[in-house]
Amino acid sequence: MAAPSFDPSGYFEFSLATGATQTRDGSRVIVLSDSALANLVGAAVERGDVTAFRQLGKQVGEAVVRSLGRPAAGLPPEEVMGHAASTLALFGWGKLSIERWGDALIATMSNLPLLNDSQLGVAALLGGMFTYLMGDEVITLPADQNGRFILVSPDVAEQVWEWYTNGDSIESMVRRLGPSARL
Amino acid sequence: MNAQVQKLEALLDRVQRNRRLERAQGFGATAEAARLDSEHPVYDHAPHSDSAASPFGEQTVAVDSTELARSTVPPSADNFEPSPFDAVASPPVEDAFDPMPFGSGPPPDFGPTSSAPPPPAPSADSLFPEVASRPASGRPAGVSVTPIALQEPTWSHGPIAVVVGSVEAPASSFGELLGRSLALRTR
Repeated sequence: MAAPSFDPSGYFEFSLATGATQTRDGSRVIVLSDSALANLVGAAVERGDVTAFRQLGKQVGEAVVRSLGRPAAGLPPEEVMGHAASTLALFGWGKLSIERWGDALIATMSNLPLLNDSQLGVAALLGGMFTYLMGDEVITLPADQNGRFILVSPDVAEQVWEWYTNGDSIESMVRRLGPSARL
Repeated sequence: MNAQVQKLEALLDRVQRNRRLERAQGFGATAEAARLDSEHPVYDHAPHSDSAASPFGEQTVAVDSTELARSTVPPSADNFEPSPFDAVASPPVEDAFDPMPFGSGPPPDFGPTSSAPPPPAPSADSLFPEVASRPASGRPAGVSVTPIALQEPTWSHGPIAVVVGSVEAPASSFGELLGRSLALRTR
């Protein structure tokens, strides 16, 4: 049986009477321009605290799970990723796809809003979303300059970030990672 | 004097026509609506959010232009006078969103732009039957999201495998797939 596709119709509701915009789940949202958001991201990165974007990602993850109707972890990857991509697209964050590099998962975002050169805001957003979907802490780090992000455990995040800032390619980073003993 | 009377009669006639149109579209007649009628004959007021239709035609976040088109009456020469809201063009009438499977269908149309030509005004005959056949229940009428059909498959061809050193086993669930990535440690 084919998985139900994501239905975006009626996702946002605008009320001129109350001046509020909300999703069909009742969450109130605010429409921002990307230039305004870029300032917020830039300030957060400068302070070294992108917690707000991770929290925002968790809220996106909640929306994905509501759309799926069941916890994501047990569902087919294609179904979860399809709904996640659609939800991110609805909120204007660009187009998400996923690649497997060995056992490592790489999220690729295209048509991202221009927020910050380091892409740390988007990385935090994706990390929050995948954390909520997985029910376990997921750290998402920029992996190249082409909108790719690597999904790793907090245990190795600092090391991977160091490799990336030293100029390692995705292939190089993935080669230096291996399954943990518990697998 | 006669000219003033004729002008007043014409104004009342327009207000009455507007109200007939509103009733045909299912809008409630409220005191606020009546006030707006007299001030802006084509103002597309909505009694509450469930039936809210933006009179501005376009929003920063796009709305379902089909629903919007059903809930607004584009002004035409014979039934309305221009209002302050006419400056924003009504969006083109588009087909309702068909939630097609990812990876199929034509490129997505992300809706009207400010340079889009105004749609042809629907005739009363074509407008009212659609309104009458609108389902009474379901999603709120009036405003919904613009069609977003993912043009390319996110994953419709199965996991994209870029093998580095070994062939990964297929994963049956999202949790299993992501779990492997989270289990990676430095060699």
